[in-house]
Amino acid sequence: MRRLPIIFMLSIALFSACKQDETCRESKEVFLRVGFFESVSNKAVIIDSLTVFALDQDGSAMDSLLYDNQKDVSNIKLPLNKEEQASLFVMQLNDLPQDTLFILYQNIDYFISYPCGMIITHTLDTVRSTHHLIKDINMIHKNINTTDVQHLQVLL
Amino acid sequence: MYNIYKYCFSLLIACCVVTVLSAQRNEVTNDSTKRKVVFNGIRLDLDVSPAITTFLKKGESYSFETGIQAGFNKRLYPVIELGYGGAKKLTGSGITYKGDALFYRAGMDFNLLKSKSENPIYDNLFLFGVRLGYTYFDYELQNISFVDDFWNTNITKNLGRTSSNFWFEVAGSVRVELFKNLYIGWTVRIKNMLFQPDPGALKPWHVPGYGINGDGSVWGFNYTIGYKLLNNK
Repeated sequence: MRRLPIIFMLSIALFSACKQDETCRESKEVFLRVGFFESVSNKAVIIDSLTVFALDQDGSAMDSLLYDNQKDVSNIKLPLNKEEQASLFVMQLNDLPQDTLFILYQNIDYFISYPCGMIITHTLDTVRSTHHLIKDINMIHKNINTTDVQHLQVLL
Repeated sequence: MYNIYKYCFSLLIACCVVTVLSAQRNEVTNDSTKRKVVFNGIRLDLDVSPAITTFLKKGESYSFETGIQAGFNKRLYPVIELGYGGAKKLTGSGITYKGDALFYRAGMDFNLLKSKSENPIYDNLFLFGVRLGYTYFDYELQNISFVDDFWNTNITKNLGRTSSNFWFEVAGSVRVELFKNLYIGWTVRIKNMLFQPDPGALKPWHVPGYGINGDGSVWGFNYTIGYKLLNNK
């Protein structure tokens, strides 16, 4: 009976020692993933040189480039604006005339976990572009989240 | 929700029926023609472990509970537990969680300790049993931040939600009669949430009566002081 207080203290310490992990181990990256394809054969195309930048809601270019004269590119990742339901990106392929990609989507709050917090995912509505070099765009996956899948095929 | 209530209520009724039938099988009266249920009294338990656990958890979460347990045929011990718990916690992602509520549990324990004497001086119990727990409460999430370095945006949201939770417990307990009708003892339990929210949906960080609401099972420990009423050894 004298040992009971000791057993009590040890038991409580043991069960209180089970602390929850506070480290985020999940991906929080949400990107629109775009691949480049040849329009006739539908084979993947490697772009010799690619520059991509985003336009803000006023139509002026954002300060930083997403891709700055990047060499040998077959697919790209584009961050969509979480405060808006539309994003504009300008692409210049191999020093040819620029094309503008116009993307309409819906934003969805997505809870990951308490260590990681929440992210905003997107569901694609409409994708349009100018047609200087881009011939067409195929929407493959509508849901944009942390899963690494291609959402759009740009046909050249 | 109605179906969940119906399911749990049916489970509780089934437990009671099984208890009574089981008790009836084990006690035979002198004339061997009738079976009877022997009532062994009711014990009130107060969990005193929060005096230490609240301190160890730095006040991030707390839980206070009490229980009432009846005894039949010195073998079957139906139990009802009632408590109040909550949490206020700044989580690893910077979200501040806040929620508290009453919680309820009902279940059945089986005494695995056989007394050598028919009427022992002290009534000690080694119990093994199950519980079904339930709580319904509101919780708040403050300072949910969505930062985007490329677009230079920083969205901050505060959300409030209501949560309804059922969980299942397997429990082992010891109760020792220290003095006449005064008991001390402990209960250790493992808990599993019965229903999980859809992927991406919010869930409370802490569920009163259950504990920290992670992906796996949760352990619980109570240290109780009890007093037996209507003692009928």
